[in-house]
Amino acid sequence: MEIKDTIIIAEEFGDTAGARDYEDGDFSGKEFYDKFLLPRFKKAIQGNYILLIDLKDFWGWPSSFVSGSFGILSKEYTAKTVLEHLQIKCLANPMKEEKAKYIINNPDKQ
Amino acid sequence: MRIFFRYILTPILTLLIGIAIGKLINDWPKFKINYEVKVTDIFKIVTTIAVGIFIPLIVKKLIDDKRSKNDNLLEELSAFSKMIENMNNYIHELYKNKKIISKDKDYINMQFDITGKEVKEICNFLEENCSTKTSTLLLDMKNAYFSYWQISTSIAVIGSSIRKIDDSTFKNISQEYTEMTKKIRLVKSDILKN
Repeated sequence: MEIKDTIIIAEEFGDTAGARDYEDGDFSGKEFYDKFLLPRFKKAIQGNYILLIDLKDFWGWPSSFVSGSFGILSKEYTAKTVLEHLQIKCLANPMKEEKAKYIINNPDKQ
Repeated sequence: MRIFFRYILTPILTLLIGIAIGKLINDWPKFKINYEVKVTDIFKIVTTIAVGIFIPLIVKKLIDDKRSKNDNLLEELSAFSKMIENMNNYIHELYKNKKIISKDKDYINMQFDITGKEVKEICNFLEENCSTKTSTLLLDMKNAYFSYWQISTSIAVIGSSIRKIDDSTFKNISQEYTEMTKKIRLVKSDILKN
């Protein structure tokens, strides 16, 4: 499978990660999920390609944001499907990729 | 009694042993020195001396190298452990003061970005230099770090409506911190063992 779509979060969504839900303030994980992640991920599944999430220049990576976006996606589509169609890239801090994978694999863990 | 042993018995025994050794060398066996020396014999002697000198040196160097490598690994882990401890102290202060403001939330976020990079570098470094068993312990340590990050940057800490860290969240953070330090200690002791 090849990468056919890329979301550079800092350019399309905002340069700072918020918290989890809309009521927790701007740039929440849920807002990112609703407006960017879910629609583009659905297209990736339909077109059978990989969606790349680029964390270049994106500040912060709290678990509340990650579980509010990638965690929900994993609950909705299973970790296996999400990891098949989604790739996360952060050259400056590769641990962010691993943190996201951890949440995707453990979406129910509080 | 001590004087008897020291000044009478010991010299007598020494004298008797000396006479016995002298007699033994004098009477039996009779040595005959062969002055014909072969080149191969010289080579054998030189090789034996070289092996006798170099093997202990090589072994010593290997031990020193391993010790200094282990010291480096432990130093890296201690630095990381200190970072996590500072972070925990900061959260502890916030809990004690019953107040958390947006600046504190940003600080926690930033610190987890920094410690995240540190964990990644340490794990890469250790994986290259450690045994398979240590790699398993490293994976446990990494997962403990993820759990600690998960609870410390959860909505109960960085949510915009949160004004203080509640008892239950602080208890969970402390538990994860303890777990994390336990895993770091396990990695350290495994490095020391090997």
